[in-house]
Amino acid sequence: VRRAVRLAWRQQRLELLLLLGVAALVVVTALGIAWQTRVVRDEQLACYRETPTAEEGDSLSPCHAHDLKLDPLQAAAGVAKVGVIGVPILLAVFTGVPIVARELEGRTAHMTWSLSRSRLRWLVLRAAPPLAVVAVASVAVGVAGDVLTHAAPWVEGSDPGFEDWWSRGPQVAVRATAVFGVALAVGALLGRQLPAVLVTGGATLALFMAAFFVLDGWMQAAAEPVPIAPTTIVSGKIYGSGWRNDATGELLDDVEADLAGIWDEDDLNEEGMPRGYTMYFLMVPSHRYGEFVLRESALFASVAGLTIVTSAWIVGRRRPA
Amino acid sequence: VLASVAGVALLAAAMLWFAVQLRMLVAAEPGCPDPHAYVPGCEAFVQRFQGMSGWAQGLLYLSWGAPFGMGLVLGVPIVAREVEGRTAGMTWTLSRSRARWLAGRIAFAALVLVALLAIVVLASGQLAAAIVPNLQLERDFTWIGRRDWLIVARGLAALGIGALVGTLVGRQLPGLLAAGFASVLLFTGMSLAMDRWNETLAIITDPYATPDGFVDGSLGLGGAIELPSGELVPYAEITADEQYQDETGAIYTRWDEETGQADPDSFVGWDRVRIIPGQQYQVVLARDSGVTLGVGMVVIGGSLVAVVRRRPA
Repeated sequence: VRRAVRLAWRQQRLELLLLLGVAALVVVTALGIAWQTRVVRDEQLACYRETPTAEEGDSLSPCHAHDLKLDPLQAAAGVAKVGVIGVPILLAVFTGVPIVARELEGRTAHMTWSLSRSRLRWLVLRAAPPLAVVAVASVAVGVAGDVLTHAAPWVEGSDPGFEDWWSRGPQVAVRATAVFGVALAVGALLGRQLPAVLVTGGATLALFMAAFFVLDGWMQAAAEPVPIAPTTIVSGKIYGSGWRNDATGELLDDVEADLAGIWDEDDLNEEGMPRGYTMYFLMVPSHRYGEFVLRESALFASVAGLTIVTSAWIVGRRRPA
Repeated sequence: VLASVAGVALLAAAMLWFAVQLRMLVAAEPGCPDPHAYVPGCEAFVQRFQGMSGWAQGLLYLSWGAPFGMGLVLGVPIVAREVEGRTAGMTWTLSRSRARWLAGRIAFAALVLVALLAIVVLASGQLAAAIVPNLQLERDFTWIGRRDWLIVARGLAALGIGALVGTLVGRQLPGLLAAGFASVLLFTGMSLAMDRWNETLAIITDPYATPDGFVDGSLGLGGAIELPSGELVPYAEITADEQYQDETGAIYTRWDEETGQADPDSFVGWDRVRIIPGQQYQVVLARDSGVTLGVGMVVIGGSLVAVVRRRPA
């Protein structure tokens, strides 16, 4: 195993150094922004506590100066989140593609495969070290993204729900593993590095778009009506809203409610809201975040498994040139 | 090359399709002259138009990214593939000179690149005109660099960076990665430098002089405060604590609780914006394209020097 790791390092040293450097930069930047955001936000909250008449966010507030510090931090956080999404994908593509493609392109596959006990064993020994690096680095990046999301001024220790779905948590690593599998398979299939990088880029885009639509479909199907009172604080992914007839429990969407005439002036209560009706959000509450992370991770893990098995099959069957 | 041709063909086809669809939408509603204005009776048309133009604008982002992607993908392997495949020694020996060999290869790649990016420029120009039919885009900074010849200049510069880095690194994938990072650094630096240069074309205007605070077609460079002395200072110098602005753009730093208005004694100055007028669009475009092309030529020259000096393996 040590020999396999050393060989993988020698062959992909430059890519790994560049990308791990960028990954480290993203982690350090994200953690630094999160730290500074908390520091400034704590100062701002202390300021609000000392001036109880001021309203938060009011431009006339004496604590407005802290907003001037928070705004650039939030802008920087946005850039760091792009890094959290992009760097694991780049790492996966640039380490996955050349494993087989370089040997085929350099016409060394024949010799390399002949010297191994089996092609499968060769592939496992060659792919495992970079895959481990991709997974570990992506977990680090994902965790840093999670810290960044939880440090946002509006979160304040509460549940961020489905916010920053693509740029936080260990699921970033599961996605990167799937991209690695795709890169490995495409590299083995095409046998040339640059075209394989381009095709993998397109395939990754298609994979993420498909995952987005599948996940959105799951969430829409799981959305449930949550009654809302004026003082209720809700967190989750909202797909729509409407009104519930309190007497019958019938749910009307906003258009149906309009047509049913619930806004007739005679039927409004003293707060100007429809009498006998309660507003509801059609939403997936944020406490179901973990469930959907697991579902999405299962999807990407399946893709990873399938593509890695396909790569093994291609390597076992294809001509070495 | 094939991937670039396929990509450009798809992109141009999609752009032209959207352009035709948007023009047909406008032509079908002669009573609604501006698809971006909510005029009574035109709501459904505006909603349909903006829904479609939202997707179409996504394509303009692709035309911004195309020159970088295509330039690097075509430029990096020119030397790197030969070095990596250990064929450089033979190829260079068979040529009259290495520089001549590289010049020929770069010329071919540049020709393909210019032809493909010219198609992107023409298609994105048509699309932009269809999205904003009421703007005079030849003197308007909207989507600069996504619909004009700056695309071609950037592509050639990216090709040069790709060729240089590919020559230095001598391997395709690490070369592509390193060239990507180098491009980000170089183009960011160039953009910052050009911003400073283009600021010489800026004028100061009163945002309260126009109904929506904008001057048509101009490029906004940010706000500033004009002091009674006529001096312009950045907001950051004044807003150490807080500031209040009235409906005429006058800026104060204290609030008078008794009168419920800003304290007149705390008057600082007037809100102003710095803009480059839309009439200067062609000048800025020529400057940006010229500098970008110049940088491209320099890096191509660098790759010629590098290929002469480097070992073939």
